[in-house]
Amino acid sequence: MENYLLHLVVMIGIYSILAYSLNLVTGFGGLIVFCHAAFYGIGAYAFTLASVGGGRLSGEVLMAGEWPFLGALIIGGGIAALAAFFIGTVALRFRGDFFVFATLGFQMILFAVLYNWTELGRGAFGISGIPRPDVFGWKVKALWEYALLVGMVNALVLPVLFILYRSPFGLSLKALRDNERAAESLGISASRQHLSAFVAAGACAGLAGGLYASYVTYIDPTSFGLNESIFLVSLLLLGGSGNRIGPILGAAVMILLPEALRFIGMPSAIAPNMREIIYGLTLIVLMYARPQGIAGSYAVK
Amino acid sequence: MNLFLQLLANGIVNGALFAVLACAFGLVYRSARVFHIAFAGLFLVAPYGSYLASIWWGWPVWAAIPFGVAMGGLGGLLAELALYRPFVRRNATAAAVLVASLGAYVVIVNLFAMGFGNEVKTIERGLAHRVSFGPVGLTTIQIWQFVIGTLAVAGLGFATVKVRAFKVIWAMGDEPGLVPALGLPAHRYRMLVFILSGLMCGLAGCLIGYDVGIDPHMGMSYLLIAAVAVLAGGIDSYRGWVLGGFVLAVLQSLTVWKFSSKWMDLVTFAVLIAVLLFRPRGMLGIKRRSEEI
Repeated sequence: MENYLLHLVVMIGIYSILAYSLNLVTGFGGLIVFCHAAFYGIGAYAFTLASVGGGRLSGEVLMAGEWPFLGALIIGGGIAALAAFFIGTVALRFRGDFFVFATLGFQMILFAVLYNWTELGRGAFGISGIPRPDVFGWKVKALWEYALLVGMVNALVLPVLFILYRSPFGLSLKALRDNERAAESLGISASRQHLSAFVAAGACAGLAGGLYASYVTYIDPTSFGLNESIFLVSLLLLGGSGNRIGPILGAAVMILLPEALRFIGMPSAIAPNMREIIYGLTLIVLMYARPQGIAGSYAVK
Repeated sequence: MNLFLQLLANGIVNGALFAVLACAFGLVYRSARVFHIAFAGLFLVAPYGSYLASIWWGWPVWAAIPFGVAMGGLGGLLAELALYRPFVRRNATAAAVLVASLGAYVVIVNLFAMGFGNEVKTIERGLAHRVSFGPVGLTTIQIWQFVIGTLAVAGLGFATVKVRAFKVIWAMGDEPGLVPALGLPAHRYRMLVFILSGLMCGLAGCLIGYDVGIDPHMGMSYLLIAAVAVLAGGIDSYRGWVLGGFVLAVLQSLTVWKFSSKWMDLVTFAVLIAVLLFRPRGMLGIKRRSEEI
């Protein structure tokens, strides 16, 4: 029971980084992004390939470094930021539906690459035996240690994001979101601000990917597909975007809700489907009654 | 060379199906201005309907398919009445509708998974006969797919030119506020759009289901294909949607020929992004003045 609760804490910690980083682009920049899971996946794969070397691996991958945990985590974030830079340069030329389509396209392309380029990361077989974190000699093995580590990464990343939210940068994003033309006439460059937000969000998602990979010690591309991106968008919009409460609320609700349903005694054969149905219905009702989400301050346009 | 011709023929057959799907998605996307993600769930209504009719009730094929297609049309109508109309009444933003549609997709897929199970169901059990045309061989199902698909696309294309309702539907996409201002029943036209889209989508769903079987999660990839075909061909042109469907299918076949089937998705979405970048209004897109956009 204790371990189960700690597992939920770790998952909420990982998803809170993802939600807060997506919030920067969606809640402040006003752009719905369907490729956040791709950055998450790139981070996870970059982290894995950077740290899995040294005989721990069964089978061939393109490269296998033997970096320590923190170094590999930074590589994960960096590569994801790089990917976000290139994708953002192309996708941010569009707005509205076309932007959604473009990010969706990149999500599918990156998934196809991870899934089919078997020389890179063994494709559908996935990579197992990812080493547990070792932070300056602190070997993280027990679940509570892991919860502590995830909490520490949150404590480092979230304040940075919060400062970004409140900084002139965040305010200019808000201005662009509310009226792009007016904001540009005041000398705010839409392409530069949006791209910076995109890259920052990608970097954070990459960090979350690294944490996830070292936590479950096995990754395969199906964890980073379109469904995951859809899950992240709905998580953020359910909790609410554009402030500091919504994302964590969304992450907590979306991760705890299925677990709570487990205890009300549904027949186990239909439980997973019922869970999904409830989550779908929640989205519909919420978008109808409260388009800004449970605690959000911005309703997507 | 024979392999190339064979794959090209397969591509053209798939093209007919993709064109039907593109019309189904394009109708809703162009005229009701809805990014219809629930389409991926509604795609399942018709094949599961005909599965129900043919396997559980023992109906013959010629009755089971029309039954399924009719169910598809009904599904489209229900989606408009129960899901989209309340949002239209509320003047909800496009993004809110998109997310709600996403929710509806999740609900529909899981309802089907609960009712029919997650595994692949086959409707047709006999082995398909193979008919040779010179170096190219097609199964009877493929021939039916091509003939019915082409007829449906051509029929709808003819209707868009000849039937006045389609002019209104098209105009509704440009200026939704204008339709009621002209004294026309906008909600009824929207219902018509969703029924037609449901029928077309159901037709494609049945034809695909009879060939490769059905599982509750197959709809999403066909939704993406339909959306890419519409965007690549040109949102503002019916012919563009059809062209988009055929081009996409043939390109996928050529990918199989040149590389391998596993890169099909990559090619599809690379086409999408290339078209968005270099011809944002699609292959047959009409150039518009900046005030019109």
